[in-house]
Amino acid sequence: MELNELKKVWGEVSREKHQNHVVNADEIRQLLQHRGSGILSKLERNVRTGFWLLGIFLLITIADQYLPYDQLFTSYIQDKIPTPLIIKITGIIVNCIMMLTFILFVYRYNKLNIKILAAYNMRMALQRILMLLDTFKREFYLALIVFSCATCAGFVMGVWQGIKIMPVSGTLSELKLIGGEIFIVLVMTAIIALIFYIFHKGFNALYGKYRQQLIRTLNELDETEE
Amino acid sequence: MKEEFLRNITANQGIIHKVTKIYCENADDRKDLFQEILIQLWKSYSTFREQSKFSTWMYRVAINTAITAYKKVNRKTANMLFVKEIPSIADDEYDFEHEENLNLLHTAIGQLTGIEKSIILLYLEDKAYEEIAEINGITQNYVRVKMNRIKKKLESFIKGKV
Repeated sequence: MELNELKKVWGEVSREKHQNHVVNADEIRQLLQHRGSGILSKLERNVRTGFWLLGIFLLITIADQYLPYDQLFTSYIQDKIPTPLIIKITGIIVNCIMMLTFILFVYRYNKLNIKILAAYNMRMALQRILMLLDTFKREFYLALIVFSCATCAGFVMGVWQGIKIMPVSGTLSELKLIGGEIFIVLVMTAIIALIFYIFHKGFNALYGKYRQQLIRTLNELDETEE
Repeated sequence: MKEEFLRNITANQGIIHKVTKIYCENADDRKDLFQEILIQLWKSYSTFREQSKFSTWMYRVAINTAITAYKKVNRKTANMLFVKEIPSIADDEYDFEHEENLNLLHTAIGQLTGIEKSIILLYLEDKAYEEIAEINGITQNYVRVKMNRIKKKLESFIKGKV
């Protein structure tokens, strides 16, 4: 069978099958009301959700650092836990980085105009979708790292200060305290590594295969154009 | 604007059907892709300028959506793409040769990559290289080079099968 014959067969198939699938305006209207299940629709939904979650997460993290807990819970907290200056400065720097990253994310999100990605020519569409996926991935991992570090640091500091302020018994030596603290850090590291692994696998299952496929398609375009 | 969109889409829906047929392996996937293309068309409708034909713009959105959602068809299911209901042996009017050609067409197209599928679809639709290049946002030279590769790929596949 030659290519011209293929064309003839295709013509017959298009006519036959098309007649079975005529969709009217009302059906199209109904279809438009449903949520799309393709990667472009998913991306749009996920990035929008990510946008709100990151915003809320950022607000909670900043509020947590500056809320006067010792004044709010006077019956539980008798002594104000002193925070070293270096921790305060680090906190401000981390907050600034998080704010800047979030603003950058919003800026990139608007610039990419995700809603009309499909209308670009193929190379540009692929480049923009990949850029969006990479930005989304970076933001996701950054949020995960910041959250993990903050949780870990807060927990370790809390335990350390707690033991120092209210020692359980006088028999605990400094060495045992340090040993206990190291054990806690190791356990926390293992938990965080597990959380990371689960999220990493989940992210790859959702987007990894699409990303690879899009990269292959883009490489295929570049290869022949060169 | 929505009414105008609905009118245009209803009149040109054949384009979406053809794209879903080239990229999807079964009826459920075709239905999902049909809806996804519709949604992307509606979202992008504001970008349609009358500088290009409506059908050219529609092909571009439909193909980009299909490529991003495209799953590699495995060879076993590729053969099922256009297979009709199993014919009765007693059915004298049943055209076995036509059926065989359909299967061959689809198995052959199933071997192609996402971009190759978009180019062969537009070629089968009798589009000029200029329009194929415009829809895909590539040069005409690229279309020619790619078309030669696709022809060789299809011919060697068909020769191997016949």
